[in-house]
Amino acid sequence: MLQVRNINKVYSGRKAFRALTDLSLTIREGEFVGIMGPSGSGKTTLLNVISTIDMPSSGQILINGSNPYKLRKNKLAAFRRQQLGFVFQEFHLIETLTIGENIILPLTLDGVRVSEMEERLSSIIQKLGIKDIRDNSIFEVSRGQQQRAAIARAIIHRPSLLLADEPTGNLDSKASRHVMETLQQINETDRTTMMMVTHDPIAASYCHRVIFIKDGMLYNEIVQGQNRSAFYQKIINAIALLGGDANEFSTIRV
Amino acid sequence: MNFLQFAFNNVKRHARKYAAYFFSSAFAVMIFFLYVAFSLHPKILPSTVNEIVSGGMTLGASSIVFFSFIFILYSTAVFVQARSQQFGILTILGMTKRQLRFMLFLEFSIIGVGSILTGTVTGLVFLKLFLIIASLAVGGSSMTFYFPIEALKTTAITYGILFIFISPLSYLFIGRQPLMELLTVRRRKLRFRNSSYIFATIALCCLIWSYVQAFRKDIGTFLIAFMVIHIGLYGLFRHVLPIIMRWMKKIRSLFWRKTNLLKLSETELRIRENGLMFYLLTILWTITCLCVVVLVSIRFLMDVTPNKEPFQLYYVSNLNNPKQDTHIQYIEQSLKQTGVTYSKQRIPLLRFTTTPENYVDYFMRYQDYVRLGEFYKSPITPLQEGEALWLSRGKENMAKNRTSIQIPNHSSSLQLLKPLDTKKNWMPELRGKNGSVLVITDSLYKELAANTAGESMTFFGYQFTNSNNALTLFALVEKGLGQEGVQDRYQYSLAAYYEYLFQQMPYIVIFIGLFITAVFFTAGASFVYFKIYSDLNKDLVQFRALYNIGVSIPELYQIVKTRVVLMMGLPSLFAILNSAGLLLFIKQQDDTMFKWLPFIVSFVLFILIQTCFSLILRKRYWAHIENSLK
Ligand SMILES: Nc1ncnc2c1ncn2[C@@H]1O[C@H](COP(=O)(O)OP(=O)(O)OP(=O)(O)O)[C@@H](O)[C@H]1O
Ligand SMILES: [Mg+2]
Repeated sequence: MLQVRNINKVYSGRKAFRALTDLSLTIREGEFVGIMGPSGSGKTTLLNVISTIDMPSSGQILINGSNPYKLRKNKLAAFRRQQLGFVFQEFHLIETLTIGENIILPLTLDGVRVSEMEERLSSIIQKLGIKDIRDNSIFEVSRGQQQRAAIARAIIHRPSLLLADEPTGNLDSKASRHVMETLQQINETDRTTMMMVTHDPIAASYCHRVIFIKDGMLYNEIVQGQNRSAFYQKIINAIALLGGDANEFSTIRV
Repeated sequence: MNFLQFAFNNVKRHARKYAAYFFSSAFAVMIFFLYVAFSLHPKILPSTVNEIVSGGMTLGASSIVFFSFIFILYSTAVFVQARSQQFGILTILGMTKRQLRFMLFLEFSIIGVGSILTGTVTGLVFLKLFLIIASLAVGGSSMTFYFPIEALKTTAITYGILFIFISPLSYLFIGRQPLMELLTVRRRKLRFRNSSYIFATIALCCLIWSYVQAFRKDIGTFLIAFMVIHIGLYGLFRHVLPIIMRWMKKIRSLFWRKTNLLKLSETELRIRENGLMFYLLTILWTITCLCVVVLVSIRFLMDVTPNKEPFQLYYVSNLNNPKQDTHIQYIEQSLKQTGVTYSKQRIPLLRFTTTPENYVDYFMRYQDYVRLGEFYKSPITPLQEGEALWLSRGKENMAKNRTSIQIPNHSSSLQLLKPLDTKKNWMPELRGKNGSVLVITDSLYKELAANTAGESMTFFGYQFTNSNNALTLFALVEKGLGQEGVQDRYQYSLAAYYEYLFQQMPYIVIFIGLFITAVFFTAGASFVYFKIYSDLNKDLVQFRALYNIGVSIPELYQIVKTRVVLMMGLPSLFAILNSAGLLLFIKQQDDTMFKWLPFIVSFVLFILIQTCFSLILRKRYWAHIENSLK
């Protein structure tokens, strides 16, 4: 499904900065992968490079066997809105639109029938618990609600690859679990491949596999076994190894 | 770091944020300065004897002052609004209200002084440029550069006062808002005032009623309509259009289609937010459009008006005028020297005082008349014995309609005929108590030449085929021949000189009019520019977001296009409607004054200019967006 080969990313600014170094990874169809790592380790950069928002300095990316960077600009736009779904760290909701309109935006651009849009919208806002704020402007809702709207927008067109940058960053544990369960469900029913950046070990424990990144390099990788709470414990240990403080996280069962 | 340094650094570091505000202020200052400098120009000032011209000038002056004030006030409000978050943070950090006020005062002083300096300096440069062009267009040395000290003073004082008043005023803009509102920039939500159906209906009625009045002939109601339409227009932008937009958004199959989702929401928001601006722009552009109509109409009138004075310069020499040859030589040499090309007519004349009215009439031969006819390519009137053709009427009293005249020492009387071609003046009014020029048959002329009661003289007429340096020529001739008018043995006339000046008058009017119109056009466009650019940083983020979720570049361009077309097009459309209504009404009152052709030309011109402006605006704005997407 997704192949990342020897990606390097250098930000050329006043001071050139190497954000990704020789990074390679493969994600299979229908897999749910978590990406973790300290702040500034290059997680967002990696997602941006995969999602064709940012160009890698070198290396190759193949999505479904084809290289999106070879597409012409307008084809690329169509590719993005049909094949990919994003949840951005800064949401990127459109100010002029209401929450509901923001969510259906990818569908309108593709010329989907109104009745179908209506249907999908009502089911998705029901699932994510943002039904009541459908007609609010984005300034009238909390960040957590904005985040859920951003998630809804990313999945409403049933992309084949969903890239999410800290989708639970602003949510409390209940809402966060809700979102993760929704994602898991979509992953299972639609077989959507997912890649999620997170700092939250509980959220990460929903993944099939968690990849750790440090200083722009692949650091570690752990795979879910039978048991989610064991997986959670492994994640916490890995974070401790990475330099985080293991005591930060309690060993509660999830 | 003391407070002054803090304020200065604040301006310096956020240069980009301030730039738009700074430039629009400087622009307003420049326009004002240029206008004052023009109206106080030593050569224009005395030439504004014409009532219409001076009336137009005052009207122009007041509207320019009004709009540059409004412009500055408006951009201040936008500017302060855009920075409200910064004020909020500063307040949180413990800046007292007094300090905040002082900071604003310092900032506005810095910007004020800066923009006054920039505005006047660029104004001076433009003044020089304009005057060079003007003197090329009008000719001669009428439009020389002068150092406009008065204008400098007026501008500095006017805008100095304005900027002093702006800082407390700007404080008013933010002073009322609670800290919470300052911090969370809920700008969009705050401005989301509701539209009311009642007001919308009233506005629509006002608008339609006003436009209908244009088809009636009643001046009284039209004047009322003139005021009522303002309510209609404001209500239209503030209530009617938002309601229409809301309705359109309810039609799912329209609204939920492609980029319509983005375009319509954006349009609705812009109309809601900028109702006042749309209204102001409409009024501004209505005036602009009318200016264009007036200018074009004058231009058309100028072409239609026939040349009244057939000879720009003429010299009539009595018999035995010793200076005749030197004068003629001098004139022709001057013509050559100034590069004026001409054709020359030499016509012998006889002068008699004729009865019964005792007028001084000039007689010319039929053969000269035929020659003139060929020259003018005009039909000539056949002449019989005993008749005289009235070629120029002179100052003849119309009430005393002469039909026949009697020449002294001549037996038969002459029947007066009117020529076929009455549109054109063939001969000038010559001096004398009347001075009509009459054509008589060659044989009669020969007979009368021997008549001692008359005087014979020679007429030298010069018709200019190019009159670029006419003003210099006139000065030269006046120097060589002395005061124009009747001398002992000759008379010469620069009568055309006055006519020439009078003809140049429309040029001066056109010139000033062009200037005012250009100012109005740019003022409107920069209004829009400023409005669009004040949101640039926010828009860059939004466009980035749209691009990221897969909106293609052409679709993004469509959005930008819609925005600019809306901001420029909507007010322009109503400006055209307003002007058309007004013109229609005037045309009904007096059909002769306006013709359709100039109207249509003006509207096309207006639309063309607006299209150019919006194209430039769109391209420039799009360049910003496209750059940020790379
Ligand atoms: N546009 C940019 N120009 C220069 N350097 C950048 C740019 N964007 C990111 N960086 C740098 O690249 C590194 C990786 O950034 P990135 O945003 O990928 O971090 P992250 O892992 O997503 O962090 P966080 O968990 O805080 O979101 C950081 O050190 C950052 O300073
Ligand atoms: Mg990040």
